[in-house]
Amino acid sequence: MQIEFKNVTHSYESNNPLSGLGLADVSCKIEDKAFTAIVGKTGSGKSTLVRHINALLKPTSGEIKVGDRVITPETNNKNLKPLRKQVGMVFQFPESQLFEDTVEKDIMFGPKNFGIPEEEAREAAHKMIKVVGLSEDYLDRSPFDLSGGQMRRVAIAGVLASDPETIILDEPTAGLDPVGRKEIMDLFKEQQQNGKTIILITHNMDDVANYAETMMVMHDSRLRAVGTPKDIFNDQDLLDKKLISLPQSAVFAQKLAKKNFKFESLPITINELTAEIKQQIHGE
Amino acid sequence: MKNIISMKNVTYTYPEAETHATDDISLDIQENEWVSIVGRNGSGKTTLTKLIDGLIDCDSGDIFIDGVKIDEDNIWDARKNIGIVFQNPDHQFVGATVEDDVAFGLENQGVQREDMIKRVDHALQMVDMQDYKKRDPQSLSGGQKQRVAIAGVLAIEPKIIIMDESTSMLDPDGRRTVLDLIQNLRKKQSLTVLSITHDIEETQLSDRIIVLKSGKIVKDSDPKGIYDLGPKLIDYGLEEPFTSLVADGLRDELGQEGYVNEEGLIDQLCKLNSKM
Amino acid sequence: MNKLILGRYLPGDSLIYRLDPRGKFLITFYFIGIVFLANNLVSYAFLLLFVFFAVYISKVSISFFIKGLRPMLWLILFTVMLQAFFTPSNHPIWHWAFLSLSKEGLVIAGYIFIRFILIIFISTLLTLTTTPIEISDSIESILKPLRVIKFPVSQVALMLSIALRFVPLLIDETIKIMDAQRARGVDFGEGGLIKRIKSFVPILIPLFVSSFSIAYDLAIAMESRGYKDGEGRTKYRILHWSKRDNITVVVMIAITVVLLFLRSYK
Repeated sequence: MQIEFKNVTHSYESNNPLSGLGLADVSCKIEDKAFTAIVGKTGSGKSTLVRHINALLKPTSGEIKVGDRVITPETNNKNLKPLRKQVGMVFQFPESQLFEDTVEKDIMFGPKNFGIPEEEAREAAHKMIKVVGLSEDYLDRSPFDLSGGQMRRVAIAGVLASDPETIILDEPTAGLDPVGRKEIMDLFKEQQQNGKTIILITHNMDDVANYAETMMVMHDSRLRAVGTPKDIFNDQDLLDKKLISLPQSAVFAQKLAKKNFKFESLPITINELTAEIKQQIHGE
Repeated sequence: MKNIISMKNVTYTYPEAETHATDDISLDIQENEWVSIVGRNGSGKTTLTKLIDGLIDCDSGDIFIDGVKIDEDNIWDARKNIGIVFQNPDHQFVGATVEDDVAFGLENQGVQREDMIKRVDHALQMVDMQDYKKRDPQSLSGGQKQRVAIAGVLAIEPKIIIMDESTSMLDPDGRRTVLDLIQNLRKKQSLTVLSITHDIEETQLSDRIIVLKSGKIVKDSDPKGIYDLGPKLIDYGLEEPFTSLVADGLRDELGQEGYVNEEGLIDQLCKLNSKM
Repeated sequence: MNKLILGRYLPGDSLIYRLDPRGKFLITFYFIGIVFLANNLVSYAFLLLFVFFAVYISKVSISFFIKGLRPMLWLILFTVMLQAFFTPSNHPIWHWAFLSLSKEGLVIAGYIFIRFILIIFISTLLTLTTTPIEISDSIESILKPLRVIKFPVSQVALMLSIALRFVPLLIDETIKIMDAQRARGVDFGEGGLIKRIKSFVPILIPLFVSSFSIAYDLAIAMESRGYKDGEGRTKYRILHWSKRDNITVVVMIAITVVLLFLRSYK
């Protein structure tokens, strides 16, 4: 399911605390089954952008195509369920959306809202709890008795259980420890390998380098660049304007480049970096 | 050097919990030290800081702050020596404006108003937030809110600052400014910093790292000693330092094990590159 | 949620902004009281003139006041209609069944309408130009005499100011939780009454949970910063009663006198 933005502008109401322009004339395509990362400073419009994909926000002008569904300023609030079933969304600190008295019921909540029969929803809950790395024993427990990290996993299971084709992630690993972070990121990479489209909002450039195939850079409500992480991180203009920061490997390579190393383009992952270093040391 | 914090055989168990949150912990922290406390979630890090600040009372053992054994009667005085910056910037902002929030701790101590005004201004200057004095917290970024929280702590002129995962909810810019600020403060004045963190970069700034697991101290050493643990760091809620990962990928070329810092690694690699 | 102007502060600076909030607070209530003294066109016109003058010197755009009327519009229209159609009269202009329209009825309806405008504009003026914390300071100051009967005035004032401080945060939290549940297929405006009420459960429970967790964190933070029980605290924020506040009081007395005089004007 391809997602396409055509000249999308969104302005918040004048009295809103976030007043002003949320998006300014954004046009782009997000490829089906790809892993796309969206980066940009806090308040640059990343969250506003993705909230248009499942019509939580509607454009002030322009249109968004999600598969064969078109969202315009005139789109009304009726009949959005099929769209929201296709586009799952994991919010920042998603554990705050839990409310049922058992983990199982909470995971089943989304699927049931989308009209999936009770039994199928239950099966999905049993399957997804394992996908997020918890055992089935957790299903009968209250979500409020779990640790923060476990609650996060339950919330993610609740989104995956509706079997969305596209999964939008708004800083899904914020506040987790490094191990938890890696496990969650690997989980979403695996979802992509199973045929899902992944859209990730993040501040972590190493995650972008390690997981994403496409990278979008937002700044002041505008989409400033789209490309592969390799190309974007090597775009001197974006770096000079401080619109992006670099992954650790690239920073390290820059330091080596000041000495006696030479990089045609900056390596962005550790594997690329060590491969480059080896090559230069062995004089090839 | 004198011990500013000293814990002797401290044990605490939460009501209805089956295991000890801190289990017979003994620990000395010296004046002006920057100590990182690491460990996976639930290892007892936050409990430890709450005990130090007397927010919970230990079941057994003694805690000394600046040489004084804390008990119910003197805990409010002991607290004047300690400031805590918590994880969620929104959940610790008491005042309606930046200056009101910074003044909160001073109001509690009954400081006279003229004195208060000076100390609020000075604290805001130290964190470079004086231009935001009249602003309301909702209009600030996460990093700015944490700087205000730090100003609120500095205003009471404590000897110890506890950072309870204070940077974990901030974006990279916010995290950077907060860490730079702490580093600069320590250059200007004597300040003991206790920082609970999962951030390897943050631990690199500290003098000493204490690793907790299931309420016990399992490692206590300078950063290098901890980083030498290599992949085992993951069990303690930390990732391996970036340089270790690079060195690991170049094991054959470097021919050595253990942690090297960035400067050392760059030197070694440059030497190797010029030999060839 | 963002359309509600009444109760919002608008940053700015003018004479009205600089008045002592205690004075502003009391004068607003006093003015609402004397609005009911007006009984004829001239007296209402006089009060309108005063309110528009106050709005003018506040330097706040009139559009904010008009927006402030909007949420109250139905209430106003309903009351005005009620007066217009149900005022008994011997000389109806038009009537049908139990409804009748008369000159007297229209005049009274007109007065009611003006009364609404006066009250809403003057209270909007108070909240637009006074920060919530100033209002809570004023309440604390006004309630001070109650200390005699052991009423915990400063604790209540702190509670009030913290509550005010957390309103925007809780609004953000509510919007976020609503978005999260909408993304999970909840439709808020759909179905019958029971279904609609039910659809709020997934909002209310998370909201309670996060309010409690915020309250817990805040309590710990306050205790760590040495907040005990309000005893022995000093105050950073103090209120200044100055000459311009005295002048305002004099103006209010003058208005009352003029108003009493205008009441007998035919």
